[in-house]
Amino acid sequence: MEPVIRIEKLEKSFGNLKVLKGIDLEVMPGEVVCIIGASGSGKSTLLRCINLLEYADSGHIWFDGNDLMDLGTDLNALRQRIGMVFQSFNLFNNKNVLDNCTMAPMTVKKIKRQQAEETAIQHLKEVGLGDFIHADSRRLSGGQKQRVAIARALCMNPEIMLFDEPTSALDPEIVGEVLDVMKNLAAQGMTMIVVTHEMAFAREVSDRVVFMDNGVILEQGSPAEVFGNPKEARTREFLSRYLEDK
Amino acid sequence: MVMKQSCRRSRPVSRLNGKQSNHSLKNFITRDHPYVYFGGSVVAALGLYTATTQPSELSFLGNSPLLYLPALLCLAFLALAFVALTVKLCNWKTYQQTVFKSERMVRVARIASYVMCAAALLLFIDRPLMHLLVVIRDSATASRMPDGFFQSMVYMLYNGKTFFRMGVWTTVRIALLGTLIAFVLALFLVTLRIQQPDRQDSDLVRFFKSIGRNFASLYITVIRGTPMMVQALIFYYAGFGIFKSTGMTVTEINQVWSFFISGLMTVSLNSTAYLAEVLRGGIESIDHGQTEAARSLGMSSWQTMLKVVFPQAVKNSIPAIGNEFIINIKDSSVLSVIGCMDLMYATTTVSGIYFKALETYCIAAIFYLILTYFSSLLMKAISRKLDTAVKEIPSSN
Repeated sequence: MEPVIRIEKLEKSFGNLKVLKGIDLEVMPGEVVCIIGASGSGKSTLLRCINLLEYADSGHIWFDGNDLMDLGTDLNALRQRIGMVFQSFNLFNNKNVLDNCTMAPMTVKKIKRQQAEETAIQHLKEVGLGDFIHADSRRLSGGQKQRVAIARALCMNPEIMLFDEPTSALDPEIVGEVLDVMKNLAAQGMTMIVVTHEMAFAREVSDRVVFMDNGVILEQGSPAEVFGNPKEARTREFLSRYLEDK
Repeated sequence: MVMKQSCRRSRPVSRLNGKQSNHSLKNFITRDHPYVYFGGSVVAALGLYTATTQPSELSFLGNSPLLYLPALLCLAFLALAFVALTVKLCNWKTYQQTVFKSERMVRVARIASYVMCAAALLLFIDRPLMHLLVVIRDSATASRMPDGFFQSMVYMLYNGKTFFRMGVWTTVRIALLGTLIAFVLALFLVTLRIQQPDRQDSDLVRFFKSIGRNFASLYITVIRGTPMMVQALIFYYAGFGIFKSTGMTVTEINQVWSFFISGLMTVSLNSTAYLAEVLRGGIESIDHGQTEAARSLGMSSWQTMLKVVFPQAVKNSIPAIGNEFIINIKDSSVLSVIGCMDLMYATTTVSGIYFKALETYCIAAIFYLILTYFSSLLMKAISRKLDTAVKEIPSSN
């Protein structure tokens, strides 16, 4: 089976600070990959490099036979197929919930309003927001906003979803409602790359856990391997707090 | 009705009422204020005083017996207030228990104060207001310049009304059209201004983006760094020179390149620079996450600008755009140097006819004040309608 995304020797620095020091990663169709690691280890940068919100300095990102790092690649066409959910939701403030979800399909894919709205309503119902279709997006709670953001990404019918710390801006009580939506999504077979600090989620839902430290992938494997028997000392150190709590 | 009455009695509750701030004047009159006797006495005394003044030509009460009714009402209220004061002074500590603090008496006093105010208003209309109208009428229709500051203002306003009418109309048109044209141009200019080279751009695109950015930046620097009066003169004479070089006669040029057109162009081009900066501020205030979200959904940078960033930026900029309009009302006065028939030029013309400078410029000041005051009210209403915060922005000059 061909991987959906194959990253080769990806390097990125901000000024003198080298954030990614040669990342290699493959994600298979239907796989849920959780990237964990300390703040500043380069997890978010890696994710943002995948759909080129940040430009990596060198390396390759293969997606459906195209190298995203190639200057001739039509990024807008490829980004349509890669959904992204942000830590700070980034709902369009000037639109209500439904318009948030229909804007990109109508603008980019030129889908008729009626059809776009049907799709949007279906996805909004999936994330449990069927009653909030016409709500002002600024008035929603954090958990609701993030679920709208997930529905918005799903409306483009992506082949892979990137989650950039989707629950870090939420209070502990409503983290669950977002994680539940993500679990459902994983169960439906969506390919997902999730940068997260939710260890329980990573352990329960992911097929593979990637531990990043200081710009490199230090260790990766099944959740049982990484959480149960971490090989590297740094991984053990990072996970110790979480494992002690258990 | 029962609801209303009980509401009126529960004074402390009304203060906590959420809508209180919107109707504070109404609430003050109908139930809040505790100064019925004191405030009412002042009004009644003023009413009585106006009744003693001489009636003017237009006075409808004159010195007829009809005059006594409102005057007596005022006097009666003064008497009531006097009694209340006496009772209060005699029963300083137990005043709350006296009949004057009973619910019925409080209501009677309030209704009495309304009746008395109506009577005082009648007297006020009959005497000072009618007197003022007579002065205005006499000054306006005088055969020669009347004495007195106010009288000569009225005289010149009336006799120069065609000038003033044309001046106000020109000023309003220039400010309104100028701001609208400037807004459209500023959208283009700010689009040039914010162009950043993208990773995928070819060298040619980079070159044009750089040219556009630098042009916008230069334009804004030059326009904001020179006085509008100088710009008006330069634009006017430059345009005149260009048309002249095509072999047109002065009459023909004046038809095409009129003072109005060149004045309008000056205001438009001047405001473009300021509005471009306003819009740039608006665009930069939009969270970068908005752009990232749109781009991550596959929208191009143009689609992102048009659908996500500009609508929010323009909406946030509306108070500042309204402010620019108000500034243009005032600043268009410098266009009088090129002979544009705006309010300032009209005023200067009238002042030249009658040799009364101070009075005419006071008229102009009042006109400008009225225009800007009502414009700012309008802008506040629009901002409120659009749910944007009304910010006071310092003038650009």
